[in-house]
Amino acid sequence: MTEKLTCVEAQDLGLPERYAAGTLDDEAVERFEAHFLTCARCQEAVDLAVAVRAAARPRRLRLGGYLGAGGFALAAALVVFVVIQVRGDTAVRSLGRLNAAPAYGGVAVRGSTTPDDSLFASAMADYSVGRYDSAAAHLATLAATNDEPPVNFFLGVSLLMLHRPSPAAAALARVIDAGNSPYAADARYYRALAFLQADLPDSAEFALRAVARDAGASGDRARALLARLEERRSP
Amino acid sequence: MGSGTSPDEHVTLDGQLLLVLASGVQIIALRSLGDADAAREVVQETLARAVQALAEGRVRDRAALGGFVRAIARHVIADEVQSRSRTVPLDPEIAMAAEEPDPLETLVRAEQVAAVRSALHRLSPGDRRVIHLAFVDGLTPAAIAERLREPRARVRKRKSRALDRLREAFLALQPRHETLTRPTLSMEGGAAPVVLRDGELDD
Repeated sequence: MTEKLTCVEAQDLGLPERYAAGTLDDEAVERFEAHFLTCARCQEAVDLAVAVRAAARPRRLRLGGYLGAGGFALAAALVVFVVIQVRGDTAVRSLGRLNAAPAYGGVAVRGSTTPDDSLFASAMADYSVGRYDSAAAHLATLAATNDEPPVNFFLGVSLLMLHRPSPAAAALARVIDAGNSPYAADARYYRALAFLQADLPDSAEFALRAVARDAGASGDRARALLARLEERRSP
Repeated sequence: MGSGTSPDEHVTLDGQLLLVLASGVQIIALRSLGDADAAREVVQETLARAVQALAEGRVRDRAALGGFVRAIARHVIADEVQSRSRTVPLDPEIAMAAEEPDPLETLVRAEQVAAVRSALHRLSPGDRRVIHLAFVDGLTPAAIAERLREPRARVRKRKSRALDRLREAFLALQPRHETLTRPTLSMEGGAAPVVLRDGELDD
């Protein structure tokens, strides 16, 4: 049996915050739990650690405020895809970082001018100048009633730029599910980046291998990223 | 705090110690189960068993009480997990989509988080970075010092200074212990199940 902890030791070792963060090993968890069960001070320190973690976390994208009457279905769907927080730059996660969003080439959503076109144009104007939060909000509104690949693709990329890997992966999956579109190959690649941002290297590797089979530029890019992923994961 | 501090004497529980135990078991159960309702049940069952064991004189060392109650809590939690074992395992992709917020966040109130967030924004960038590495990334003090390339003593000072400010903001609002009600105990005929109800202070 290891020696009993004191409050001072627990604080010095950063146990309350590491307990809340889930980074203690099993033995340390056992010691700390046995200690704080009878220690109000250390319980308070755990509570404070939880509050600090919640306070330090990036604010989630507040889609609700941007959604019109038709947008709540998407909002509800996105609630399911709760944001995965990016907690630090681990070796794998940093590979998922997207330094520059793919350029928008001016593909229209529909052939004629409609309210959707206007909303899309507005979203892409924001996207083009790097206002990804505003672009994502507009695109999310649009995606509630318009499931076309460009909408979901740029929504996914915008969310990726905002480090919101989970809803980004969901939007990009809709592009892939829509079948053969000019966006499908890129969507697979960016979805792999979302997996990396979410620290899911196995899923990322699986997605990248699928893209790596392509002969074109997307295949080259996927193969290069696969090589870097393997390098980072090797002991 | 509790009485019965020396070995070979029965450890007894007073109301305050019982509250602290209940609060501690709540943390452990929430962290393990991620479900506030299930955690409440674990608290009740654990304390009922603990009170019974204490009444039977099975704990003679006050210093061992935490480990003893923890062992009970772990058994109760394991039973709860087993009763849920019919759930279907998820693949990583689906698990990612379904990930929920930190279950421990039910320990704190939104206004406490807001107060801490406000205090966090008032910290210097250097102090805020230390807090982020410690609390969000969960790094050890040594790892933080290494990451920042600063002496450990300096990092410790930064963290202590920042934490004092955050704690002040946090404690300005009512802490969780003061919102928990005292467990009601009936020792007639032995220990009865401990009942924790909101808003039912017995004194």
